[in-house]
Amino acid sequence: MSATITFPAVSLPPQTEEVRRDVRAFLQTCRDDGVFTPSGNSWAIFNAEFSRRCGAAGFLGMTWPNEVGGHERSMLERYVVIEEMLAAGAPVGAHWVADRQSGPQILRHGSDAAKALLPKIAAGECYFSIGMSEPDAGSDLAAVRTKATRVEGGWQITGTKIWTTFAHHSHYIIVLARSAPQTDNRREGFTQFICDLSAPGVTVRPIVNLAGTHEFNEVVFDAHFVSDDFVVGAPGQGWDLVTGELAFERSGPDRFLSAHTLVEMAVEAADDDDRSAEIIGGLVARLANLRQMSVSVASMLEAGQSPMLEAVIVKDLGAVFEQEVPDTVRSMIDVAPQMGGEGLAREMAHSVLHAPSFSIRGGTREILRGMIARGVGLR
Amino acid sequence: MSEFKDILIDQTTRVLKDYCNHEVIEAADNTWPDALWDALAKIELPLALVDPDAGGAGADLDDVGALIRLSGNFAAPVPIGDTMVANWLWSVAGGAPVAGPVVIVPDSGSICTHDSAGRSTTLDGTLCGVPWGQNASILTVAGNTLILIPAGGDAACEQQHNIAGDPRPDLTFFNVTLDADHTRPLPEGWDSSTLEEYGALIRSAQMVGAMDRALALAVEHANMRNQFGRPLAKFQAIQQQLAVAVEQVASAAAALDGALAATSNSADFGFAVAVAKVITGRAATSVAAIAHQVHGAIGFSREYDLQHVTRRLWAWREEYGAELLWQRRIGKRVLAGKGRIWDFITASGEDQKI
Repeated sequence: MSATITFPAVSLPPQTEEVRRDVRAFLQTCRDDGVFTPSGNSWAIFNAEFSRRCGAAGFLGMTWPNEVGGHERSMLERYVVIEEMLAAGAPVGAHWVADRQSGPQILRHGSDAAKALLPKIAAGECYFSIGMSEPDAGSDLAAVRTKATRVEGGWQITGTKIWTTFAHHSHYIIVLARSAPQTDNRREGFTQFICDLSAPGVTVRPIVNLAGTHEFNEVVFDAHFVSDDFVVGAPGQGWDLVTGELAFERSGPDRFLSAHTLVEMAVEAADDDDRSAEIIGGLVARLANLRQMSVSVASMLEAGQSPMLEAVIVKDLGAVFEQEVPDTVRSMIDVAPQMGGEGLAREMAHSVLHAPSFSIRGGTREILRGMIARGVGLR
Repeated sequence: MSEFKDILIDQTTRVLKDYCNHEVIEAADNTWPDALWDALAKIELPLALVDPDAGGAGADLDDVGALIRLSGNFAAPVPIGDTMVANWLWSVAGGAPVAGPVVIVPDSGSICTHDSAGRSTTLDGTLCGVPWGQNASILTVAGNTLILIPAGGDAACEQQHNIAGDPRPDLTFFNVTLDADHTRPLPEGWDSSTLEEYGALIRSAQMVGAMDRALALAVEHANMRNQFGRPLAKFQAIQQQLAVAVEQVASAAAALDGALAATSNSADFGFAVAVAKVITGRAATSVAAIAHQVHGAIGFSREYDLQHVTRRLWAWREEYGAELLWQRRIGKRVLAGKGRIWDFITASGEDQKI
């Protein structure tokens, strides 16, 4: 068998250029109005005002049907919107998870009651967190111990989720819980539940990260009640739904643009000499290559394929790239990182401090590479 | 994939399997592999890309890219990719295609003088490192003129080899005059870097093919070879390395496909090729290193086939511009533009010309 994975070359259809112009104009207005200043890793920056504006402008729920507040655009049009926002360092964090994965899951596998949340997500007013990791279940997700017990009219959830981004701001969290006793197949017996973070029986505790920022939380569920219509899919389907969404989660431009604001600022500050040109040319070539692969995956998703391995490849290559950006910049210009303020020194500090997370979130490098190895017939 | 492309791939695979074995490759450093070339010529590959009106098969660049990749996979010690592309370029400019091998030398301005009436061109001086220079015709550019220097005889040949052992002689011409049949005005839209871009595209395709092979050999070896009572493929340390190689080959193949899909007369073709050469060159370094590490000592032996592709990867990443040259070109264009690099990456046509 051939071990070479193919990413067919795709050119973005002409109508996406119209969308690109619209987004650029929208972002300019937001900057002019003081809604945000550009920053790297901007999908981890919470800004409800920006998200509401995105909703009003029709940039959320873009591929969903009109009747749930969507805009029936193509995946490639959505792709252009998110790549422009990330490249501009816009703070998409508030709506990011809801728009990227929770909403699409609910659209496909949710009840009518759950679908009633979609118009609010598309309006940029309803935010979600991801409830997968636990204190004893990181890369080994099948070790999840949060328990769902059948009760009258629904389920009772008890357990602890951790590393939960923006649980202190979000309205809901989709929790992966064990709803049936473990069998020989560790992946059986899981179900996903939409939990209201403001409801009784849910406690959110902050976890400050090494950069001094509060993004993470620990979320404790103590006999928290979830009604049957807030179960995602059928009971027992949890594992398949979680892994099925990963192609969407792993191949997007967020996987290689986390340090893009630093790249732009460094190019602006660079000397006009051969050495700078060589370093910048290397960054541009790698970015163009990653973007082409990522667009190719978006196009496969649009065609209804399930490009799991391709998505994993884009994520790992993208994480390596964005992690290398700070050191690449250091090899080109002399800049001492500085906490606070604006500009290159601040952006350097921000990128250096956040870079370790790039190859952990969304699947660690080692897990991804294990999947690739298995995918080409090793093991 | 078109049926025509399938047939071409199928025919070429059969020829390479039959005529491009270990012994042929080992002998090719000093002997032109007649049987291999004749078999490739018999299935009419030298004219594959040429328009049917000019006597060719009318394949497109994407079809031919697949064939060049295949030639890299087999480490073919003949300039078949060079010939397919050079013949096509020459015929586009109005020249008559050549049956024998043709190679590309991007710039010969320093040794060419054209007579004032434009009827003849005189060569005087040395072209260094010409691929199979003693056997091949040479397509080259001097100023605004495209020149086809016929194979054989008129130059003094000092044999040199690249690190794969493929002939790269220096050719010295002493006042050799070519008539007007051998020159054409540079076609509309071409410039002094057009030939170099096609050369880089050919080597990128060969590198992707060579990487396909290096990776396949490494995966096969990891599954077959037992140590500590189990196949190497069971060790996470091996899996993690091969996963990186898989990623590198995939990214190189994607960059190649992007360049092959770029319209060849579009202004952004040069950028697509530059990306391909940078990405395939980087990947070549990584994939060759990993393939050797996974193979252990056996991969370092002359008799094992891995060295046929890895030595070519190391040679090809330098030819028609190493990564650094293409990076410099991209970077200079970006620095001169003064805008965001994102605007450059998302642009097309003239706005993405390097």
